[in-house]
Amino acid sequence: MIRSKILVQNTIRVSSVLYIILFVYAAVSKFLDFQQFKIQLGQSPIITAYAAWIAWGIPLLELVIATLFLFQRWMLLAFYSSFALMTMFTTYILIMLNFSDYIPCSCGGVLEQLGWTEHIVFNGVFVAMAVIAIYFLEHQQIPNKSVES
Amino acid sequence: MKNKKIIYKLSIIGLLSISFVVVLFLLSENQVHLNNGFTRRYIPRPMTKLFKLPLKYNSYYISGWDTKHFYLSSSTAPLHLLKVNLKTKDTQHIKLKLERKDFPFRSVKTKIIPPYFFVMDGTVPCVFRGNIKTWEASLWMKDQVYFTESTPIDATMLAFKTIDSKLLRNILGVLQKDTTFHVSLNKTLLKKQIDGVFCTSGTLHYNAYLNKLIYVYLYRNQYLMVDTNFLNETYGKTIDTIRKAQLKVVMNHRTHEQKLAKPPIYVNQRSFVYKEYLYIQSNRLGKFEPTTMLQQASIIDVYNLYKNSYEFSFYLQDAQKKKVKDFAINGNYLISINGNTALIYQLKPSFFQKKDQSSMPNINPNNPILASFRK
Repeated sequence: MIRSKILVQNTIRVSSVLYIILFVYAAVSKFLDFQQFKIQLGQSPIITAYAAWIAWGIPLLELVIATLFLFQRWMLLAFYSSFALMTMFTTYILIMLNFSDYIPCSCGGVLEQLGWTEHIVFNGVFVAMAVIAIYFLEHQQIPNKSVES
Repeated sequence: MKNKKIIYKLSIIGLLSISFVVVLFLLSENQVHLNNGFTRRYIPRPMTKLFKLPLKYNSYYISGWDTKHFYLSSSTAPLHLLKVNLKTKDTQHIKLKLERKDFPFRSVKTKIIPPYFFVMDGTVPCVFRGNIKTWEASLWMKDQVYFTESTPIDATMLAFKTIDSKLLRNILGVLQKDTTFHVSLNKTLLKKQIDGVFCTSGTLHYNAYLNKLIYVYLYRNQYLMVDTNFLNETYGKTIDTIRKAQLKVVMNHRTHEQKLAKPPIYVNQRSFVYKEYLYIQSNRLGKFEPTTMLQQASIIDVYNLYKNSYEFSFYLQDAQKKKVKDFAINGNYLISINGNTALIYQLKPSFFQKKDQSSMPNINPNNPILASFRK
């Protein structure tokens, strides 16, 4: 019982740390080359019209979620929003791959080097992580104070 | 109980996220493929498919014809040429021999105009010319002019498009070689609308039948027809309604490059000239056209260059879900390249060979080809 509790805590902790790294890295790399990111977004067939808003919105959102992960009481919300965001990214990629005439890429930094299949697998792993963490967190009746972030 | 609630919550959030992106996509699709304010005339069954030719590479483009064959060149293997017999369907691999290969080639284009073939690279810049009997080419031009696109007019003349470094605009030019080189540039024919480079983008053709250069703008509903000495220009209008290029050009200050900030609207995506006809591939829908057709075919609009008029349109089918990447017409044949397939069609002469000689306002009467044609 105790062992499984430790396992649960570690899973949640590792997932949240991985998410923080992912979001902070993605947001920072986008801001570092903001002009390029904005142009790439604009070239996307889906979101041209809203490119300016989304260019600011996505990295900001990523930073906000990363911050939420730092607080125990916001942890669940952070995982739910990460789950939503990753689902959106994955849907976007799937639509691009299947329905768009051409494929632009605007994920920041090294993520841009990923192939499309790797990308989907990568996103899938993160979505799965969020789901597992949400499952564990929802089952913890009382937030465990011993977890420091 | 708890698990059910979690699954319920997650599926709602998941579905909402997915539908949010899907709705965004559908909204933008609607904008792109909206039916526009022009009407096409489609002709039923303008051609029949003769045969299909599997290609080893998807980098092939159509580089020329002679009476019985057509030639395919590859942008990734520039010295390789595929010769296809239209009757027997035989293919023959040809290796081109260039006098010199020690240039920093970056964008090589081959064009076959029997009995000559040309290998051109405007980034070096250099042009090789050779005979199609031996497939050996000697250096015809080196370092005279840089160009972004070129098309041979005859054995001694080459028309090209280049970017004027002072004006920062696309301009047209003709290079002639007798004992020396003569370059004539024209800086006024291509009309700037936005930035000068993107907005004047287009395809340059030479039409031997009319002895005219034809320039089809990519982003506006216009083409230009002019003599090879840049006199007697006439402007033609295509059926599309976009008069001004719909482009948003931005400067990337880090790399000092101009880029398009959103996907451009291609009005005349690809074009081809043969005899008195101009063929334009368009993916823009007109009035009363089914949206679904664009998922299985491309639209080709046909214009008459004598009359400066729109004639009719027809569909060119996709092959293995691949859109037409290049197409060309010669005699009664139409070839289209779709991914790893070449499709060869026979055109119905009744549609494509109406020799309406009664109105030929734009013809240069001194053109020997035409003079003999009229007899």
